[in-house]
Amino acid sequence: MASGRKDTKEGASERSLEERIERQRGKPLPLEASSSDIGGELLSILSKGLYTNPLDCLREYAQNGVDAGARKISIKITGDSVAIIDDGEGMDLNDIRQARRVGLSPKSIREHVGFRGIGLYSGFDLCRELSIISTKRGDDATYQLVLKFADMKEQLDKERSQAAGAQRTSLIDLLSQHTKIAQLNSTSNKHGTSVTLQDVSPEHVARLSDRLSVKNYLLQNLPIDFSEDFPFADELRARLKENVPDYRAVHVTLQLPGQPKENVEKYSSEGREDGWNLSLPECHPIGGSSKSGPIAYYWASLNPTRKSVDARASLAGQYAGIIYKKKGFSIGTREKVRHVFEPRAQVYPWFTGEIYVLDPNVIPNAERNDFETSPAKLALLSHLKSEMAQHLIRLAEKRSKEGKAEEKIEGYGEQLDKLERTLKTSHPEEESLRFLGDILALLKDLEKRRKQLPSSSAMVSKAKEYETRAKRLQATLQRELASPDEELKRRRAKTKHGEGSRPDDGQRPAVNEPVPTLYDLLVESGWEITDDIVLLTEIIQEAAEGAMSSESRDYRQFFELIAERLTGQDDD
Amino acid sequence: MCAFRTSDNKDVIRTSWNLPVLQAWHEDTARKLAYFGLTGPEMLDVIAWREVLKVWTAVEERPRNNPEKRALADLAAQEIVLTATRNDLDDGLELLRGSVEDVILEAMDENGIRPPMADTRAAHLCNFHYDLYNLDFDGGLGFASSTGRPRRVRALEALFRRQQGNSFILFLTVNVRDTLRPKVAEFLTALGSEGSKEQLDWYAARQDGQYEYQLKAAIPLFLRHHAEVCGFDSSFWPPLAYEGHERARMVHFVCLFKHTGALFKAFSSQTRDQVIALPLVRCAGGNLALAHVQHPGFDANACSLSLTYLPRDCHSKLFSSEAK
Repeated sequence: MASGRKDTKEGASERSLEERIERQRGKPLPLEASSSDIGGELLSILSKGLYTNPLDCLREYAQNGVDAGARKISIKITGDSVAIIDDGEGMDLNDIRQARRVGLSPKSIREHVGFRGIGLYSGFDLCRELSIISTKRGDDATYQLVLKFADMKEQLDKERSQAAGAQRTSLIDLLSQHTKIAQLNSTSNKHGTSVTLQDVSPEHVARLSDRLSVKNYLLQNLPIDFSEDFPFADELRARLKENVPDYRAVHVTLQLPGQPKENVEKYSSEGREDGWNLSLPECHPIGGSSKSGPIAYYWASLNPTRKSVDARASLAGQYAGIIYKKKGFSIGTREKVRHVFEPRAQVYPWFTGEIYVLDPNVIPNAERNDFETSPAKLALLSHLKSEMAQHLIRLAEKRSKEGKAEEKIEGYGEQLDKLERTLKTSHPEEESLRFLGDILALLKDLEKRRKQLPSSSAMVSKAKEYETRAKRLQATLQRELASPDEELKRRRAKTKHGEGSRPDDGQRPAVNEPVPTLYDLLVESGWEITDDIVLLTEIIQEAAEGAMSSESRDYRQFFELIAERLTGQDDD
Repeated sequence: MCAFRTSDNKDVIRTSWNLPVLQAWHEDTARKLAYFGLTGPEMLDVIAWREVLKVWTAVEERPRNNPEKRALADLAAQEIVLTATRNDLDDGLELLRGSVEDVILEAMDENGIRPPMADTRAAHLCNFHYDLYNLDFDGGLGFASSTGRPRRVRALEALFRRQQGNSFILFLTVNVRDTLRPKVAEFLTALGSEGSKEQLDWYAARQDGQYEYQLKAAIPLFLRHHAEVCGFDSSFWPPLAYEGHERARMVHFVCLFKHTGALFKAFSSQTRDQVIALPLVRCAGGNLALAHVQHPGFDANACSLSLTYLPRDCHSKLFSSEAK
């Protein structure tokens, strides 16, 4: 018989258990739990363990709004409070009672992001009190739920300092004593929910007032909508709604103390000198079958200048590359997908985009910086490599060829301008021969470059114009070489009537543009420039300059070949 | 704060009495106005006046020693933010926590946040640059005590120092409580020595159920004095008495203070006698009318001629009903 047993309900239960165990000695029996088996301390442990970053609270409460179908979420941070207001479905009395549950949620893991039933308590360590006001769509009543976190903590602190064996408050009692519910006299009939954290500590307010980190955090963790100034916003919204089940995009505004309200949008052109210069996005499903559907859906857009998407943006690494999305929040950073583009990873930052992971068996890890290792994840990676990466790399190489062709054609235009000016003056016969050689090489290459461009390209007509001019120059030079005196007479006649000019003696105007250095070519091609690379480029550059004159054709051709190899071309 | 919940009378005052004043001021200054005051959770004033407002600083108290009042105030603060968000008013909203008189006196709220329209000088020196103050003093002007003058009275004085150099409109609503009655009567009696003795003695002698008359006379004269000392030309609309939420008796004052740049003291265009001669207006059942009881020598015709600055429909309501 146990000593010190009280004559209470608990005592009676204990006697009954003893008797049952005694009667069925050796046989395991179910042991029922009671409310007193779960201590209030659990709340403190869970919230401290799961939510160490005050920004996590913003995420949790905003995510609840997303799960409730909100289109707009406003976040307002004042001197000591944080308000998260959404226009979602709202809650009636039953819903708001259920919201208080710990570890129980009516949400479904398949449909919602929040399903663990703990998010409401993410502000436990941050504020004195959490107040939720909600009106359900179609309902007249407005309810308020108040959780007095500071009072709960005070009670737990007091109990911690008590002697061992002292009475401890159960979780149920803690919640019962320090939660209030009310129906409010609200005249507004607008549905939605407002969550306010009252009396947030100053250090947390300071952290929540860091505009840039809050914005980046929200962009990472909420299904935020495209900015209206992103050129493909409407098209992508339509495609994603069609192809990504339960695709949601919310409009989020953020207002920090003393600052005007601002929109938090993805793909905003803020801080981008040239706005968004991108090709039409590629949008495709990945993997899967007609029965199961695709395992992912991606969109990606290429920077046609063959540089990083963030090359002229004030924040490096913001949008260069492709990011995983699962139920609207991001998994890891854009660097996560880079390896899928190997061995052509140097074109990776030319793209920006998103991969919406649809396979429910691909599950984010707790930190949301990767997916849990599983066969489903490996299958996803395999498909990304064979389908998405291969396709995009081909696109990049094609664009690279076109871009190079466009640059060459532009360069030939300048070359022709200089040649035309030069030919208006008198020059020795050997120079005429050299010029003719240059023109013939230019014509040949110009035609080749023109054929590399799509017919819709504006540079095609320019190339044709240059070809016409080059042919005219060719004819002039051929005449000159055939009958130099006649040609000289013709030119003099032109000069007499005000055309042409005689250059100063000794000056030979340059025909060709300067040759880029190896370092310049690597940077232009999107290579990551490490210290070792810098040293190697210096060695090779010095060796090339030692072996060849920088004015020579061989020198020029040497670096042109390198340029073409870097962009995956063969110069036949 | 329940005295200041809306009612039919309050709605009429907001739209028919106050809004024309603001519209005229907005036209005069050729800019939208910066508002400071007690918006209440439903922000009805800001919503009604939003076409002429630019920014709005809302103040919500934060009682320290009364958990129930604290809970109500926190709820009100939350509702202000919610109302602002739902009505697209959140961009111009700044919410300060603390008593409005403390914010005026200290130039910051309990979180150390300064009113956005305060300049950057030290708190005891800084000026405010608001165009409109909307102050609802629940509980009247405060309590007389041996430790000093009521904080609200000091805040009203301080308002003029804070706004020095910046003209502004004051909407002041006072709950008719007789917490300062003897002092108010004393003030009116003493003022009588400077003129209009008969009228001021009459106001000072008002008894139970007519305390609003004492406030009607005393508050404009009090404000006028402090305004002129700080260089403001002050003008007053007829004080307005009404029953608010749960039949609370209120008196509402509309005052315009124009900065003159005077070095020592301003001299208002509206004379002291004209201020005293202003009628008490009643708003009952949503209708405006002159109060049946006015001070001795009240001349409705003369009043009608001097109050031409009232909006036309208000003027005609007051004086056509008086004519009847």
